[in-house]
Amino acid sequence: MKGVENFEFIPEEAARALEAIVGPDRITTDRAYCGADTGMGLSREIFGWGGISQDAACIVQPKTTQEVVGIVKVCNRYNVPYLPVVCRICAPTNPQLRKDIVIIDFVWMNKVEIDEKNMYAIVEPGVTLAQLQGEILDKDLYEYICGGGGYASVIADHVGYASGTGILNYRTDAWTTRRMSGVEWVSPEGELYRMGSLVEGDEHGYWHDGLGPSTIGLMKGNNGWGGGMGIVTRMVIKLYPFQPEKLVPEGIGCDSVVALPPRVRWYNITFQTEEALQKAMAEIHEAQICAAVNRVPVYWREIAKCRGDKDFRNQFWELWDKQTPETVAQTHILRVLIIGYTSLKHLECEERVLMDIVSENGGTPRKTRQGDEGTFFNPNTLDQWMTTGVFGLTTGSWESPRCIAEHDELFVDRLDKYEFKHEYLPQHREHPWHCSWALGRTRYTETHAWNDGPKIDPLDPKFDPGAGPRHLIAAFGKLGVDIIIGNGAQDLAGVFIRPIKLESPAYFDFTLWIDRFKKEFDPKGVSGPPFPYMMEAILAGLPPELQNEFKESAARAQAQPWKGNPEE
Amino acid sequence: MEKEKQNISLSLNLDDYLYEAQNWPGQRDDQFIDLNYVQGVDFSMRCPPWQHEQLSAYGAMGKCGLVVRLLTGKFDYSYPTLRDIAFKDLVCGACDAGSKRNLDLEPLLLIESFRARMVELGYGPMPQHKPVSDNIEKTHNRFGLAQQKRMGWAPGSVKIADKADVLYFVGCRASFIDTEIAAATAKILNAANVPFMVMANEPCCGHYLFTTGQLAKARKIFEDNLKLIRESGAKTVVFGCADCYKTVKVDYPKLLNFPTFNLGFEAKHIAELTDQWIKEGRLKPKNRINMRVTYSDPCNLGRMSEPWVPWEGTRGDFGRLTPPRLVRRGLNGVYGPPRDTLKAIPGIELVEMVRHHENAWCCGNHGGVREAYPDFASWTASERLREAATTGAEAIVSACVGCKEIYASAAKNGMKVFDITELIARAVGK
Repeated sequence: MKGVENFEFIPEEAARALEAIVGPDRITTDRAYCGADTGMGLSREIFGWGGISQDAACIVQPKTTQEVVGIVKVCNRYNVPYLPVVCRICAPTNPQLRKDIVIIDFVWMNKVEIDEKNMYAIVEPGVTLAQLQGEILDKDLYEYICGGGGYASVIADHVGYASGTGILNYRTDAWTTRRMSGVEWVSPEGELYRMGSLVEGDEHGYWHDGLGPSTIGLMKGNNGWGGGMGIVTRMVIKLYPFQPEKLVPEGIGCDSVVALPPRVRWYNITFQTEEALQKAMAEIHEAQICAAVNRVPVYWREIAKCRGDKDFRNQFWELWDKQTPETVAQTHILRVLIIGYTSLKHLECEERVLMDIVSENGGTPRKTRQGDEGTFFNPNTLDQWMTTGVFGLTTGSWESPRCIAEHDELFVDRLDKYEFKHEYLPQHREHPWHCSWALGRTRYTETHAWNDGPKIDPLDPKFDPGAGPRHLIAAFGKLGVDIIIGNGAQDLAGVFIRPIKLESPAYFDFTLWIDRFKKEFDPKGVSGPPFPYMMEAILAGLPPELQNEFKESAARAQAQPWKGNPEE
Repeated sequence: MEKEKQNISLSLNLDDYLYEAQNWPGQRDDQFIDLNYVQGVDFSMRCPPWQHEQLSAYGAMGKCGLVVRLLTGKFDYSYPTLRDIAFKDLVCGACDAGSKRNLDLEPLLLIESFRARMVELGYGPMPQHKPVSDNIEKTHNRFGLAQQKRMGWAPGSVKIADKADVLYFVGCRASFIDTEIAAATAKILNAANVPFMVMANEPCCGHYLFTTGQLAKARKIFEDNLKLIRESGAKTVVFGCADCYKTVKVDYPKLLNFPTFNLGFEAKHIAELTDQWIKEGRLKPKNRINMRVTYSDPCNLGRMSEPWVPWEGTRGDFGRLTPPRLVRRGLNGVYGPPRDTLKAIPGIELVEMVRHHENAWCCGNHGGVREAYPDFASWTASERLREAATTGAEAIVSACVGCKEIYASAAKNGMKVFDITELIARAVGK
């Protein structure tokens, strides 16, 4: 094994059995290696330094599906929990609440096969979204990159519907689970299944589910399974036709952009009112034009201005300190991408339609730099938050256009109501970012309450290890419940109130299915514990008064009639 | 409620970097190149130790996690693996440039401070670093050779002035081992009709001591050398070695706490000057060299060579700094001049690798790794040569003596290796 062997948290026999599968160079129980590998990113900030996250007991790095099967079977045999990880960014998939977890790290499993003609890719879990995009753009194909960043694993992103989204999904189906045509799945107990196109065994990904019932549905779950339902070791995903001209990167560091060819153009448009912007968005969707449609909040625009060698935080805050509720209320920005998929004339035609819509709604096209920093490779939301020096408490929703507009209004109301003043960025009641998917049939909104991260300081004598998570959960819980009560939108903050089990046909009935699947496939509960019960586990550690607050919120939410519009 | 302000500075004291260590947001900027430049799975990583070891501990983000544990008393510096983690690192600044694309973090300073702390506490440097360190202290060059032989590189045809405004700082490796680079540099200076002097007893720049965390020893050498250079009366100091160049231009001011513009002289790499002289018509590359080449940015000439600007102040709410500070993001490294120089040579076709400019993959001959972890150093160089081969280039060209040395030792399948000075000297020679 690499480093200093340590069997304090894992039985030596189990570790030796794992070593026998992968060899001595791809396994470690060393405390430094495990400590450095654990709880990165958001999870480290929120849970790790909050005192909740534990270091892994062991890291094991398989190279093949057969090795993964072996590892999972060993873990079951010794009743040792395991957690599959790749990029370690996402908060729900990283922290460990137990000291005996084996991290299965897919760093060595990064093969990609592309079928240009039939427009699909077969990927292993170590392949990231940016890597896949790099492989396929030269073949005139493209995929989305999720907002969390091009560092994310393609497979991890596709098995979690709320994570697998990006603005390039505008013309495609944003439900990532629908875009996988086949999976090779190692069940929680170590059985190997092939589903969809891969069931045939002839290694092509064209047929999606093929004959028989759709088994890919097993991969679904609110926010994905977070490693709580075995491991997908290969996935077939659909790719989409792009235009043939090359995207050429240029520039250094914070000034790097992808220079856009003539057939790819961004348009920044300002409107005088939010209503006019929303109406223009709806008309763009009706006309079925454009490649991405975003409502851009003012703070995004200010972040984008931070460049050069002056420190970004002071640059941002100099700009943001000048904003007031009045200036924000007067700024309504729509950012639209058009791609001439078939020809330059295609782009020109859509541009004319767009300009008609803009003109009819009183909008003004602004000068727009024809380079792209993040859409095609590198959206990088986490870094964006940290540019401002804050942690982003993010929630969001994925609903009908009407629901999303109401959701945004409710959100800014609740930020005021709960007086998120001191440690939060003043938002001036600004509506958040939202974008359209499936040509506007659904919209996604992502709302941020930005708190001051440095207050979570473990060297501060007043530091309370549980304060960060409690704060987060309290904020999310309150907001999420209020929004559900307010308009029935399925808010992502729901993951924080999921423990209260809003069970009814109108609410999150899927929790029942998750329970049933989990019990059936993972009777020992060794696959990614505490997933899918992460929030229950955290909630159980909260003070009784906060637990009661959640229960009361649940009761209030459940007592409300369904506010959504099924006909939408 | 305003957060109590913390007094901090850009220092080499690890205690100043708890905030940096805690606030890496989780993006793998330390491992991947700028994603806008990614062309697929291959060559998409920027961090050699991480890619070699495949464990987060060897990347900057993992080190941040360990540093938080160390600074909060949850881990001890004496832990055996920690030394390997600290010193199996090229200190090449790739993570620094990567993280600063979007953030104001200082992973390079954190890593340098981590090494220094390990040395302070007796857990470093590595035993293999000691002979080189001893040589520098005893003989003023890293090879332990007699200083009297330092001028052995200079062919009789080269004109060296007793006194001039320009001082050519040759460096240990070019003086004793890769002497063709020193000779080529001198020929270029002669061809441009620039009178220059050298220091016959030129001491080691101290790069090796600094980069292996031996700051107390480095400080003494830095102070002595600075005095020596200033006393020479040189207005411009020219370097052919990127390691010496960056050490004098950045690390002397960094360790001795003054801004680069107060050095008292201008530090210039020869590639900066050749570019300027060619554009001015002072240097004429007339001899044709028919060759397809790719250029490998030396870390110390590119992303790490920006001038040092000290900063002291406070950090308040939202991590805002008072006063605002400049962040060395690698934006102003020396990237264009060597490329423009190569393009000015008739017959040279310059092609880029996937990882270039601030995303360049380190050569492997840095941070004391060549001595302590020779296999890892060779692997790093081989990876770069593999990348170079995919461009169809006949030769890999760098602008650092260390790069040339390790590429030459790792090159296979006919890939030629040049220092940029060798090609320029051939192009401008009679």
